[in-house]
Amino acid sequence: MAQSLMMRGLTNYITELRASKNREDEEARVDKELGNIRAKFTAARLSEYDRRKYVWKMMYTSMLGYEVDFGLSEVLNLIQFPGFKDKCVGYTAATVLMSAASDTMPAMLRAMRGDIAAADPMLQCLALTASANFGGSKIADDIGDTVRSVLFGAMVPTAVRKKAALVLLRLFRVKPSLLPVPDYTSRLIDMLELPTLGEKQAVLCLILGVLAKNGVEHFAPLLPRLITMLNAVAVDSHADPHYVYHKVACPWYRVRILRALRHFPFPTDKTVQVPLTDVLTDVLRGTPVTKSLNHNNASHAILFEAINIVIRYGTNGPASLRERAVEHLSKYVNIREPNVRYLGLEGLTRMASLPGTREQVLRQQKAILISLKERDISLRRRALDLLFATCGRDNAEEIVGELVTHLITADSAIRSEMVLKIAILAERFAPNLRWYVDVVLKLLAHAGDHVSDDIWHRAVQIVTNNPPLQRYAAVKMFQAVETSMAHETAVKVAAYILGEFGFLLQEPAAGESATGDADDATTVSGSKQFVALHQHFDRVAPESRVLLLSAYAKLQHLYEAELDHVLTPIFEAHTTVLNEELQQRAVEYLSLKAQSDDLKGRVLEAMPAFEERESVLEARLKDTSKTAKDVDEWGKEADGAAVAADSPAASAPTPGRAKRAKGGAVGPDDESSSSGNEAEPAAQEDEDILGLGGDDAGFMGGADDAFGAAAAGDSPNIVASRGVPSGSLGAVRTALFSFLDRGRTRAGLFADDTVQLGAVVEFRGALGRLRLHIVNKSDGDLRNIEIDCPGTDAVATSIVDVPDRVPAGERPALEIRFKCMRPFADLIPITVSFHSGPMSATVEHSYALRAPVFTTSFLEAVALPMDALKARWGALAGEPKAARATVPVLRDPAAVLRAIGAEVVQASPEHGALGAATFRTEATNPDGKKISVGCLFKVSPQGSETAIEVRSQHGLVTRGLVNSIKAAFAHGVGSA
Amino acid sequence: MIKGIFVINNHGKPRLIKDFQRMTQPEQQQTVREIFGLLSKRSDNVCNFLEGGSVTTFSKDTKLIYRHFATLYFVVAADGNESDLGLLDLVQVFVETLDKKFENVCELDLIFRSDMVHHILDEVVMGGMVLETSGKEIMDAVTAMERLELETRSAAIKA
Repeated sequence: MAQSLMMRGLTNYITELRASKNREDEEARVDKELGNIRAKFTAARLSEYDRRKYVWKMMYTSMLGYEVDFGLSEVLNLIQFPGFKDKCVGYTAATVLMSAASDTMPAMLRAMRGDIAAADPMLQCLALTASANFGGSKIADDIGDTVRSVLFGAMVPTAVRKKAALVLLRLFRVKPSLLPVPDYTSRLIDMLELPTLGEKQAVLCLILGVLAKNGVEHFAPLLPRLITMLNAVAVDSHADPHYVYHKVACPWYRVRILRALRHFPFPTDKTVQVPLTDVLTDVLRGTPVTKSLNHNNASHAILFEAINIVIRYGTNGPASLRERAVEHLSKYVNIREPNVRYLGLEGLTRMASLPGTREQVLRQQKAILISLKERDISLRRRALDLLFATCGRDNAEEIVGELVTHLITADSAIRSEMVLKIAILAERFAPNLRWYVDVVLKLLAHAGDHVSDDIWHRAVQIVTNNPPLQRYAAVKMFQAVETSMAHETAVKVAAYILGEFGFLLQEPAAGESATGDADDATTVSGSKQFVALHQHFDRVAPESRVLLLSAYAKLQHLYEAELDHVLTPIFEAHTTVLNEELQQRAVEYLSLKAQSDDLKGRVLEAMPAFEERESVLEARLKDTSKTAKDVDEWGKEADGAAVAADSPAASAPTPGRAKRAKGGAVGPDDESSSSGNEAEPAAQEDEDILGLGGDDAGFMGGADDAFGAAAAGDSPNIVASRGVPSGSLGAVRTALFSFLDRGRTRAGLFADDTVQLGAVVEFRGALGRLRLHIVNKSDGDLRNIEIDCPGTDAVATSIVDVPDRVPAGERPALEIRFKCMRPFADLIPITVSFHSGPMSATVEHSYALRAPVFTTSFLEAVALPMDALKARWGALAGEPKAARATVPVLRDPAAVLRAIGAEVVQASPEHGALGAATFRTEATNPDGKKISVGCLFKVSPQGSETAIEVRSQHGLVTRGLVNSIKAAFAHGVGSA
Repeated sequence: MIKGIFVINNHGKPRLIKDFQRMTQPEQQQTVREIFGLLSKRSDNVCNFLEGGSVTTFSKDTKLIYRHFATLYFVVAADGNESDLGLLDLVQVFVETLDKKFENVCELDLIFRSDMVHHILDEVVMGGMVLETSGKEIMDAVTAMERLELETRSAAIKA
């Protein structure tokens, strides 16, 4: 029967293609056929049979990898024909050949909508399948409503309902408004009563999608229902015989029920708790591993879902379930059957993050190490993840030792991953810093190719920030490059370390750096260091040579007498090389030689520790916090007419208001206050205006706690956490404050190797808009994206268009809107968090930044006549309305005023400049007018510096402006 | 969600490409090549799961769940939100259905009857979501379609 359906022409074509002797033959045959089809399509008459046949030929050709870029209108014709056969081919071909951007798409969507609403269930099914396979927002917009009414319709055939549920899920994912919660909640739950298992499964699938997007908030009645459903299959065992799979009753259905259960936290209500625990205990009773692979797979699929629930409950769930789960997993990591072992390792990895289970997991260490040495890369990866998850201060030396040993023989598929994990563990759990350096050296020696820049940069950073370690690192790096076989990455690290700390090798170690080690006595002369480094020069890449040249320049400075005669010719030789970077360095270092010792010393002096803090800024923030008491007069501000309303009475303090302003952290809703809290202490204690995100905060100290906190979150697979590294804080601040120049509308706020956060800003009056681009630089998705910008009671925020994932290479933008309600002087925290990496080894990122929104952002220039300005200036004397800052001499005193958005009323290089502006807010006074605050500026040269004085009706505005101007100068804005 | 289902023979030739990520045709071909590159290195007694994050067209969290039958690899690429073992079972259901339909399915059936293979798969997985898991239900749906296909176009279509 089936054979009779074959089209002879199609069969012949395929047979001929298969008979092709080589690719050229095949290509020739394909060309001929496609030419033929093209001709047929342009002919006047074409039978339906032929049209179907040619379209199938096109699909087959396309699958073989040939481009088929014509005939879409014929495909569309088939869809538009009333016959089932034609539509059937047409829809299949459309999903294979047509792209969403195709011209034929609108016509196809019309036909699709018609078929979905048709009375014929077979046509409905065809169109539903095609729309699911297509997916995408166009389809969601066009047919989403039709699909939804089919799903919830009365008297819908099973086959149609099943498909409609899944199509709706696919479309809901791109267009959540198709199923607003809670409007549809009870209808969805009621549909679980549908008679067939197929429909129940499809509806469960849809519910799972809704839960994943919206959470369980409005789904409370679903929980007892799921328990009942699970009991009905597991206990009553009257399952539909058609869903018994290799002697297991409806495994997929049960897996889906358990998946839905996983969305709920462990219930507190005893009447639910007890039956839930019973049913889970029942599933966890487990099944023996039998000889039937298919039976094993199905029964374990259910078991692993139950274990996932237990892991999800963590310590909130019953301990008996946890014990049972660990018991199963411990057994599985020891068995031979690779699939169950694989999942066992994966499960234990997640289990290990629960408090109290690590010890039990550690008992399986031997079995894990066996899996680490398996031939199967999948098992090795899981074993590596598990070792990583169970590593702690107590066993770090052992685990890292095992991993390093295995690294030597491991194949390249897993080496990069191992190197990264070893480096992280060595840093996180080092019993002492010398051990850390030793591990890094081993990585360089055994897997130099896989030590990426960020790993060795990190190592250099740690050495730089820990003076007692520097001499030891220098000795070790010298030894590492003494041999001619050293890896290029080792040469790079040595160039850096010896350039910075090679001078410490002149004398034996003393004081803090000495531990009685043999290496402490080693001394190495400058020329020996040079020789060790330079032997590699000719064989390394230009970027490594650049590092070597820099190291030479530093050595030359320190050991001038000893090395000058060798090094100068090297620099001279490089002034003519083709590589621009090398040439430039050589020229610079040569010209430096001629400079004064003082300048040389400054250029070539040791790099500062990476954890530098901007003490200038700290001081400034301390300065501003002193006046924090005398705010806040807001609410008494008189008039919307900018500078016009400046009656002295307007700024009298209002106690009630002041309280509210100070209680910034206890905002109207608790949610924003809890997230705001993290940033608050930083701002209040003036420690660091950016807050110390990232993993530098407690190297050797609190780092593991920070990681622990991350791992205890929802996602048990988190293997690392990243924030803004303290080494980047300077750059982050510079980027942030570059926005003080109002002419600047775009800049990168932050970048590391995973992500780049770019900002485009626009301000109009009291309203602002920040488009935040999340550029995914990694090669996987960024998931679970969260933007936290709770705003303050001075600046209200709203966030729109947050994507829930960013595929590799993409750069979607979300928008944060700001509305200025009152004066402010603090920065607005904004935290960007997401997950990257594989699900099983997720890296959690959380970058605590500040929004590029300042008092100056809401300034508008005001053209004020000179005499009016002078009159107001006099009226605004005295603190807190007036404040001043001193900055270096300015070439153009008016530039700074223009940069922050003020009107320059008068300017001359000798006498300075006067400016005026108004600070806009969206707050209204009792007359319904928007409140603004007039601001005046005076820039006056005073010998070796310039004074900038700011006066406004409102102390907080004045302070915000002075802070902004100071920050602008500190970061080179407006000083041109 | 399932990102794609691929049937590839022992020489790396695609026999079925069902892609739910809407890749371009060259991307599909590249995906087939890369998947085959990963799988062909593996012996038959290792586990049926492999990380697919290294495949250019897939995101990092992609897993390949596959079975190797005689001359064909049946591969499901999925994200982390699916049950790995469940998908392995699904491959089995798909192959069992093909086997029933073609009476001892072999590579040639997939080559010459790709229409039927598409129809069967459409009843198992739709738009990257598992539609049906009962072999009987799948066969019933496919048979109903086949019956309709045989009827002439002019005949009134009533289900």
